[in-house]
Amino acid sequence: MKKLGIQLKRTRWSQLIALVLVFTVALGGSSCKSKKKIATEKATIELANKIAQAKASLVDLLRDDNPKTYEEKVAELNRIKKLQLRDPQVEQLIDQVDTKQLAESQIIEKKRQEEKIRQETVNLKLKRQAEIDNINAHFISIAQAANAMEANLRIQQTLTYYASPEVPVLLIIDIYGDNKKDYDKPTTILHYLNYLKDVKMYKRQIESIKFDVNHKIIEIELIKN
Amino acid sequence: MRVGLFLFLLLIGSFNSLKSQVVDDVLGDESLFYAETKQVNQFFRRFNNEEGPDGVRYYKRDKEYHNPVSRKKYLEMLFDSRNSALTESIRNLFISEVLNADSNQYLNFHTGGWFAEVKTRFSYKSEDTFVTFFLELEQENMGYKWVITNVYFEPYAEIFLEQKSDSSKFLHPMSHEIDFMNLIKVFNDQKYIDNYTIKSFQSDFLTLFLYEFKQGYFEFKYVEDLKFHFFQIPGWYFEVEQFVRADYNSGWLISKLTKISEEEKSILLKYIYHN
Amino acid sequence: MKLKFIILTIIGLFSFSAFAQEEISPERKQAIDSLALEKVKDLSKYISIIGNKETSFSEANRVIERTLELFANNSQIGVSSLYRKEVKYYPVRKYLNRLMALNYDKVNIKWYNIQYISDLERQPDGTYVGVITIYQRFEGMQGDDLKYVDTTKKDITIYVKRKETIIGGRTIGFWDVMLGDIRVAETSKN
Repeated sequence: MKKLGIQLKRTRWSQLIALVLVFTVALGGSSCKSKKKIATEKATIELANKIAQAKASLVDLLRDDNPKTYEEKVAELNRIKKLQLRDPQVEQLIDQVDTKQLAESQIIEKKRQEEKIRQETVNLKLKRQAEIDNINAHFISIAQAANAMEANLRIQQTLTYYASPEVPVLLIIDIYGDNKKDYDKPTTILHYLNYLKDVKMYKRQIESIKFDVNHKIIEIELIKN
Repeated sequence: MRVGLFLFLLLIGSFNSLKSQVVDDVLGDESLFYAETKQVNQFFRRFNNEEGPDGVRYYKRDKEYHNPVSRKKYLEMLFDSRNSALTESIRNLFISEVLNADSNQYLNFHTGGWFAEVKTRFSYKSEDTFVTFFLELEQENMGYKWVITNVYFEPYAEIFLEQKSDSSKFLHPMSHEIDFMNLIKVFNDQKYIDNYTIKSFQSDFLTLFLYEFKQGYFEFKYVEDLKFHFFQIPGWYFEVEQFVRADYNSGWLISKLTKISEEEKSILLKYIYHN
Repeated sequence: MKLKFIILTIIGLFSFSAFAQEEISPERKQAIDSLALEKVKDLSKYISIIGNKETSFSEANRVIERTLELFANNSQIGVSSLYRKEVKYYPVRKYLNRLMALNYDKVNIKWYNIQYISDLERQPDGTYVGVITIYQRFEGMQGDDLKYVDTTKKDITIYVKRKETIIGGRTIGFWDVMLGDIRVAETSKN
């Protein structure tokens, strides 16, 4: 029984091998060489496509009206560079795009610098305006002080912003002709602040201020509202 | 009061420029002040139509400057309305001559033909008294100043103007041969001294006043009254005085007006100066 | 006095230039008029401070000094009442000291909304002179009671002089406006 069993197994294995052989002969035995060729052809076509696409993309990158952002354009160029397509035309185009992008980056940098400066100017202006408003507010606060004591206190505080109590105050009464100015008699900051305390009214705005190196006011010009 | 202002404005004939100034309920009181001819300067400007109803001056470039229509209204307001001697006919005649397109008379501050009469209170040798000064504008350098041209002081007038004239009072023509010893008779009689002076002699009160002032006889107290005499409009004389009263017809106004010839003018001047 | 000293230290150079040579536009004249009127208003505010009992003695004296700075030297105030022709003349300082001594609890100076500004006339020394006429109601209060009230016409002399000074290296042309004699005439007792 055991022997029969083994024989049967052997029969089955031989049958299976025979079948495989038949199939092998029938299907492939003779086509091994043409398969390689197909693969090569396929790769060639793919490469050609990649080169064509890269060229198109590079040409696109060279266009001035390319809608992509600078960053997108840089990414695209890098992508193409990574493909390492050894095509002279592509390489030439890459060089051109490189040059173009370098110029573009310089423009962008310049614009950024300009914007930075502009922003700084705006900030400075705002800061300056805030400072002017603050200096103007001193005058208003003295004019509106509830009593002489309060006004005196505010005068003392205000004077700390000035280089000295003798800092000249110029009061414009009229601007005429080619920006010529008529003034009231010049006075000093100390006297002007006391004047505001007495008349309890301030109806002017700051036309100009000059500071010293310690940022203390050394001259102030006021004009009627 | 409001009605009064309305009438005043109506008289002036222009509301617009006033609008900005008419505010709140103090208006009633202010209307009088608007109407009042507040300064002699304003008398000039109104007379010439050189300012608006709000008192703001016109400049030559302004359309209304010297406008005869509003000027006529101003002129009508510049008389003391309570003075019956200033009849409508004389006022109208004056106004029509002033406005006459051919002559077109304007008052001018700088060109003379008008002067001030200032009545002042002094203490004279310790007694209260009046001295009247006459002043005129005089040009000096580029500017002007008021100068005293004449003075009237009654004690002087009593001595000089009421001269006793006596044809028997003279120094005879051979007096020189007797070393003018007859002067003793001249100076022994104060009353007749004037008879011995040259015909053309005219006493000069201003010199007298200055002399006595320098001697310390006069002490100034205050100015009591002021008026102006105008001879600027040819053929006319008028006087301007200040009327302080709660009335739209107040301030500096024409108080006297008369038509005069050149000849009458010199007589009138003598009369004004009390000469 | 101190201010004068300070002004002199700031003002390096005073040079007189009259405005007769150059034609002054009506707009510039109006600016000068407003400046003059502003000085008149300042005076009025100072008078209110000086007349108020609440104002301390030292403050009142300080304000008197400031008031005097508004005036040309030797200015006087001539006051007459409705029923008396007599005019009393006070040097400004005396007038202000008298005002301080009146000692009302409160002094209200109300303005009538009208002012008259004369032409500016040139005097021989080149200074221009004008007169501003204003009307004011003076109320002296004792507690809530009106102790004294009058309405006056004030004819205020204004001197205007063109001056130049150098500040911070540049020439500043300014109008030096000073108050002069003031004639105060009562117009009504209320």
